[in-house]
Amino acid sequence: MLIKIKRSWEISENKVTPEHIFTNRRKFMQGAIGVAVLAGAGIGGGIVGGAGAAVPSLDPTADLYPAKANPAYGPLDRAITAEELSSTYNNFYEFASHKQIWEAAQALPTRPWEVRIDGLARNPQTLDIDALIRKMPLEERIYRHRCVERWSMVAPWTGFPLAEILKLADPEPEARYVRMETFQKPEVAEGQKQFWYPWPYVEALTIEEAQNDLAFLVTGAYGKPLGKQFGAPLRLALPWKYGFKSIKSIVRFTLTDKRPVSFWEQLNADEYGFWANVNPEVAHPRWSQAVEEILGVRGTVPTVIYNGYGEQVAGLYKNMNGQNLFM
Amino acid sequence: MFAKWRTGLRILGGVIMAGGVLLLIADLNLTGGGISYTPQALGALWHQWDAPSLNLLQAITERYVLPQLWSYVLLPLLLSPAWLVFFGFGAGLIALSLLRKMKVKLEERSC
Repeated sequence: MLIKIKRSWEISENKVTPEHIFTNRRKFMQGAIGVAVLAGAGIGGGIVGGAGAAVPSLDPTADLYPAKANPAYGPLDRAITAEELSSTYNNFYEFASHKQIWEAAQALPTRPWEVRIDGLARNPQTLDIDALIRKMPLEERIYRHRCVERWSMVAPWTGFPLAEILKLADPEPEARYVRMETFQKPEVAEGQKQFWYPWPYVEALTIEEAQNDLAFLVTGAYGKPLGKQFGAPLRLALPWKYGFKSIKSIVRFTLTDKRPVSFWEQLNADEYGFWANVNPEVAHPRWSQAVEEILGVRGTVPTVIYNGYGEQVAGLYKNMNGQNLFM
Repeated sequence: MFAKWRTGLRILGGVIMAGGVLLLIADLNLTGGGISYTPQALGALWHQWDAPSLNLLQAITERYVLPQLWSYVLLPLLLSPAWLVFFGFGAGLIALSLLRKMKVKLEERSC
């Protein structure tokens, strides 16, 4: 007898976005934005997007989406993961550690939202998120995303290079790292009630990594403002590193000369280190990283070093002997 | 056989209760003006002892058992004072052993 165990991210065929809508999503979104405008005027109302999309219809930057696609980060050899899958299978540890946290994440108030830039910066400042987004050159990039838990997806992110934040900050010469911090709101994020964890979530990069063109700050996905479960209103996308490095819902960038200790490094440095570059040859202490499961695709595919972005980033790690680059 | 189990349960309960009392004493601080009480949550104590195992328990419970079990049962326990959880658990074990004894006595009387 064949016993089929449904995996948690599987959805039934009738929930899959029809191809004609998916391939024409720009046009579809333009229509959806029109609906949002009507909703804002008191006609109709509610939410724009599909099942898990849950994007507030009144996002102040909704008019900026969809942004122009950057052909340098265009279609990959893998199909874009259906939004219904990627937006309902998320890690957002501030809310919980299970995958169905997209509903809980909707409780996060993302406006007003301020982003602070400080530390070893000649131009420290605090910016309103909408002013920041409008100031930046938004573009769409299609990135692979590889989770340390061995699943992966392909997402069309909209945003701007992290290097733009560094330009705004104007780093002092001694600045060597960028420390990023997320919100602290235990009243809406149940995970943060566990006060023994080192909240808020912190991640960090070297200045060189942050200046790499691949390091991308995300403000939108699938041609519209970023859903809360993806880390609205501002998250990082580092496609050559394991997903936990791509911090969500950022409120602060601090330039520093000392290597920050990240949230996961503080909790369990043997499993989640500072560098966390994707490498199929280096196993996680409890499982192999040689293959991955792409959301919505049956079976596994081989994982590639630096998640396939070696050409762009391998040079960052030359001559770094003694560093645990892949953990 | 049952008597041995009951005795074991009572001893275990007593040891856990004693642990709870020790934790309570550790939560009491003698200050100039008297005694202050600063309870340490069970989760905080566990986190100090072995953070990865607590993290793993959360992941297993939420992902493979039932998210609500974490939210409504385990998390409130972890947020409670460690001494109270130990004391309550120990007392519960002792009560369980007495209940079995009472049940046996009641059954003997009814014969």
